Amino acid sequence: MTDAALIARVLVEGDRAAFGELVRRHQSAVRQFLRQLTRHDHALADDLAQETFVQAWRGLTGFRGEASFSTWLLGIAHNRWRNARRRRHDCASLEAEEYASNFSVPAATPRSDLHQDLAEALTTLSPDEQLTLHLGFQQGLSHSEIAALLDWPLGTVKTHLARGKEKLRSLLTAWNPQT
Amino acid sequence: MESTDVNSPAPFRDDDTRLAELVRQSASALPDDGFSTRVLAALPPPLKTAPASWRRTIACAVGAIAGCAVTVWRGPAWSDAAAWIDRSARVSLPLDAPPLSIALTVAAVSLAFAFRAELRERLLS
Repeated sequence: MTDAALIARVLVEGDRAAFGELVRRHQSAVRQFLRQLTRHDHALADDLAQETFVQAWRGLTGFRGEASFSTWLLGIAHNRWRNARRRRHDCASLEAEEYASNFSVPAATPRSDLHQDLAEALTTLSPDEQLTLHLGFQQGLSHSEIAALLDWPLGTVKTHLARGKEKLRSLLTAWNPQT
Repeated sequence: MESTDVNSPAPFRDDDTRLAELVRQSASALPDDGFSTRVLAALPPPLKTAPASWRRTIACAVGAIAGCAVTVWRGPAWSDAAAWIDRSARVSLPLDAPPLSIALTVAAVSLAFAFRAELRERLLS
């Protein structure tokens, strides 16, 4: 059953089982996105993810289908995270700092395969670059969708994405000896 | 991840595709681990912002029937209806006529009741 069919069942019949299926389908994307935003604070990310889905349940009539359901959920998640930051620090300007040093650096591991090197390389990128790569490559969002989600100019998204990719290529040159 | 795949030489030589694929693969899907169950337990009572369609239909039907009843009860005789409509079209709607005012009020109230969730949402947003 498609997302649209499940959404219709929720709207018409108040079908909780249908909504549960939507949660199961999209929980991973929402939780991973929030883990990126919360410095990998898994407990906080899951709390915000739960709030995200509850808000989605309440506001499902507001979903117009202009974006995918997944993108709509990520938008709610981003707003929940921003509100949580504001409540906690009572200062919206701290958001930029929240992005800074935003990602845990894994313990040093033997450089035994490409994925380990990639994981380490990703932690050296700026938080904005990591976030952009996450949304673009892992969540599959387009540049314009990322710009709308994060409320960034489209050029900023493209710049972060290009810089992130270039840094990764540079950091992983050992795996690419012919370039 | 399969080592035969990820350790293949020169993964980024051609374009972004391989790099994008590797970054995508670096984040495996999170297991549900009871998350969806917790969300369902935290949901508020059934959606009040989206009344079931049959309830909306009944609300509109009751309003329409009430409006028709008022019109038949207090409205002009059928023989006068054509002249009344013709006069209304040429001049203006006689909103000061009690039967029409009542019928319009009943219709407006029934519509407001049927779409109360949407109205509340728009007024509060």
